[in-house]
Amino acid sequence: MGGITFVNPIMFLGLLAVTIPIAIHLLTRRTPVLITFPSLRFLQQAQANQSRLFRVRHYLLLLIRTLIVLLLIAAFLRPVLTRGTLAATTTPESGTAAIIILDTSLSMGYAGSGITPFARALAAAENTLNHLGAQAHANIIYAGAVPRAGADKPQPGRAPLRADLAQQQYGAARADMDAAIAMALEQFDALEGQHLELHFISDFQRSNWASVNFAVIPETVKTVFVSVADGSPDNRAITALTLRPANPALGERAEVTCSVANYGPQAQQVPVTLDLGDGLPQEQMLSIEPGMTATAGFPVQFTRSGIHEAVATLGSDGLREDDTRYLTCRVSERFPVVILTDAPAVARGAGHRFVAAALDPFGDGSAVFVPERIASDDFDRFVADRAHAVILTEAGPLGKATVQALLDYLRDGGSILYFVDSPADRNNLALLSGAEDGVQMPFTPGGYISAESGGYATLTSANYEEPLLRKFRDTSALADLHFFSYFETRREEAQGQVLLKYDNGSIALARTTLGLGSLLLANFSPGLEGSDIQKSTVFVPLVHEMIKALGLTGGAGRDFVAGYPCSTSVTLDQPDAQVRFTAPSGERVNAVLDMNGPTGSVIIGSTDATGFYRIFSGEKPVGAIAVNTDARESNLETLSPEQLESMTQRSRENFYARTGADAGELRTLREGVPLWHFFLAGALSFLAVEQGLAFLWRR
Amino acid sequence: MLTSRLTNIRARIEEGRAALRRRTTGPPPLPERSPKSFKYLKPAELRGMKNLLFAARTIVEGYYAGRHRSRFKGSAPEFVDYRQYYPGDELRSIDWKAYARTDRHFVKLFEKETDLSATILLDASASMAFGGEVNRPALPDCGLTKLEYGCYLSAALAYVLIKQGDKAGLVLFDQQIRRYLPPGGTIRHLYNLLGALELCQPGGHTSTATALRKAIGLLKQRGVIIIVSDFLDDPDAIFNALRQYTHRGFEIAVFHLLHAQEVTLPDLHNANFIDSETGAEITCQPKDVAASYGALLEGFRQDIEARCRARNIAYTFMTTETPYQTVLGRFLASRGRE
Repeated sequence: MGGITFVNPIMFLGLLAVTIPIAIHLLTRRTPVLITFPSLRFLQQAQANQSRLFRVRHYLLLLIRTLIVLLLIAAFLRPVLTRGTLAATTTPESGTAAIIILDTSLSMGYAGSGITPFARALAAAENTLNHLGAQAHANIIYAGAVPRAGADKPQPGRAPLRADLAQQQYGAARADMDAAIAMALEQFDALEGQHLELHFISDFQRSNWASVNFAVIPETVKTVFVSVADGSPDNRAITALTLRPANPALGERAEVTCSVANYGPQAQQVPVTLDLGDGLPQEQMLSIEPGMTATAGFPVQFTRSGIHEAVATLGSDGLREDDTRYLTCRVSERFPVVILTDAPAVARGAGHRFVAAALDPFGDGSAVFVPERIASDDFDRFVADRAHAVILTEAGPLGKATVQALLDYLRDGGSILYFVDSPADRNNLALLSGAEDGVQMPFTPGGYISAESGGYATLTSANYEEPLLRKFRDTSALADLHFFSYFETRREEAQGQVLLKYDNGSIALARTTLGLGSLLLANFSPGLEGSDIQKSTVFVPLVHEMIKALGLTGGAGRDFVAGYPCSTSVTLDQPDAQVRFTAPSGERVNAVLDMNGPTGSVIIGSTDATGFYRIFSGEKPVGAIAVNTDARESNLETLSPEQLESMTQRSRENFYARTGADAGELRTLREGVPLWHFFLAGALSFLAVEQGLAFLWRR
Repeated sequence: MLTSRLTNIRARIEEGRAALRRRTTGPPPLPERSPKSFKYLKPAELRGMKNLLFAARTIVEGYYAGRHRSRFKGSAPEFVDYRQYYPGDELRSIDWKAYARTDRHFVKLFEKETDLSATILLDASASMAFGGEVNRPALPDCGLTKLEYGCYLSAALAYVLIKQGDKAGLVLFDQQIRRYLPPGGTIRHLYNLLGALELCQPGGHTSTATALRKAIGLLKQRGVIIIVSDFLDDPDAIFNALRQYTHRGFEIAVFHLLHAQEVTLPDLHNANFIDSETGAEITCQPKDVAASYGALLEGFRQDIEARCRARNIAYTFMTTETPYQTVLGRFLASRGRE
């Protein structure tokens, strides 16, 4: 009945009472008293004057009296408006299973107004548990980076859930709502014949919820969205802390850039402090408009190789955790560059020899770059971990494992310089771009022009605005180069960046990215048969600039966020020393150490806190991993119920939204809106009208 | 034969004595009789009327000397005027002193007190039957019918008149004269009048005007006519008919009698009203039409009253809830003041 149910349906019998005024009306009309009267002439005149008006009055009074009875009966029926409430489809006979997904992400800890959304969420969860029926099954899933259920399945007992709830704290991580929903649905699958309710208690932070896939929730599951967001959040956060170049050499000038976002409604003057642990913190003042991000650059120059820990801080606000950001700076004296080639090491005129010579011109190991030649099939994650950059030249057909390792390396921030210098590279490029989430190549190789054709190409177009080529702007050295073998190319629009072009329009040098990594495609061969570049004076600086350029745009290092695993590579000088791992608090944590010779990779599976996770070999620190908050957690802009409803695309019968932890509102949501007092008020109003009209007309 | 003649002689002597007594002291008090004897005149109610007097406002004609002024001039002590002597006048009526002064014969005129002859015209039409047993099932509190009330009032009037030595007549009418008792001043006549009232039953249609026109032919002697009626008739016709009485010098008193539940409609939700005279029916809700009906009826009453006032007719309105003694007392008191 249009979303209205009746708590007291037995009172429908009272509808019979509606017949009372009608019956009285009809009976009094149809059984008149017979009176012999002296003269009817005055009565006839009076009736002629009054009868029509009085008939109208009679019917009006009859209508009002019938309405009064109807309204009174309706009031005693205790109608409840169930539209938009859980009572719309839930019947007392059917059991209810409810799972509360409680957001424990970082944004729930915003304390700008004194009380955090998380505290309100706990109260809302408690209220939700309280207002479930006695027979209802309930469970709570705490949505963090990894969801955790309060119980294995929804259960009738609430005490363990309440005890567990009381112990909860919000975390530093971003919530994986999709995983939490999946866990809830998995628990629902084990239930049969019950009405299923999924309660989301969160601040519904836009950046966290906008990507949640609600489509997986069946229409049979009713969803309740309980917003506990702060009304007017005013938050500032360090959203990024990067070092450029990512891996500076010892003594190299570098810059730590700190991006600060102002998510508040007003412009702010924000002091930013960078502390490298050298006792000389640097501070800058940023003026940031509302909703904008500003960047502070701190010039640094490391005088000691190894791991440096940088900490940037802001003035404290409602969300303290995102006011500090951590960065590990790996400063090396020399950088290993892995050259993947399948050409024989002793082959004359081979390109890899010229490349290696370019990296270490003096061959005494005094150069910054230390070339290491390995076969393409030998490239794996261990090699990748130690490689500052990877150069492919004269590589044969790449194996599947190598392709995957290269892609992983790229995604993790690696830098690859690929000399496309053999016909096999057409297939290699196809493998790199054709794999799942592969590289979007800036060009597609066409026909291969080999040295046997006798011709050559020259460079006629260069993008000197790029830092890579900027140093060659004032020379004609690039134009003097001759390229004998290369691929004709077809440009893939909107993919990558073209840096050099041949006179025939084919692309000679182009750059693209994958994940955090950067890939530079050189459509020529550094070997004698492919070009005369190795003879040019620009070759050595060009190779160095290409490696540096890769490092500028990519290879910034992975930015680990709390709640997820973090990893790094370490070099252990003392293989026998005990290796231990500590959390930012200093407590020991478990980690996986996978050694391959003196180097090994460390994976810490659980990062609950932000800060530096450190690796010690004996008492010597050999590595550190900076774990930060997810920058998306800092933007506290929330989704409105309307936006949520639009986003979830759920039917109105299965979508309910309310605000806060108000128990009365929750009761209304579960039981519906009682309407009896409106009907009673209506009946009394009509009674007053009836009395008023009767009094008026009696006069 | 002789016995019967003696009886008649005794009766005449007794009547003569009674007339003699009336002439001097008025009519004898009504003898105490059983209450069952007369329905409309009970001894207990008579006590309240023993001091009431019916005063004539106009000159009346009477055969007996009484308390009312008569248009007949005679030898009564009240000198009124002179007039020229005409042959045939009694010589003793000539004022010789005036003759001595004027040398002309004048006759002294004296105002003669005479008996009042009042005729009560009581409407006995069907409309006067409202109330009473007929309406008791529908209207338990209806009390007397208008006719019964009128009978009480008429009986009391007759008693007062006869008690003070005047004559009272009775005309019962509906659309015609149903019963006529000429004015009389004896107890026997009063009894006859009361008997006629008791036998009176409501009749057919009302036609007061017709009845009045017929009744004037019956009234030989000028005096007072007292009309007791609900006047639910055409007022124009009624007052046209009354014009004859005023032209003949009758004093007219009107008792406009309505039933209490006729004035204020009964408190019923729905009623089927049947016209007592025509049989026409109308169903309505008395509550609904009460106000409008009351206004119309009051307008009618005021019209009757205004017409009476314009013709110098004494008008008294009453309902059956008003004690008739009160009505009578007020009416007589008002006449006394005038």
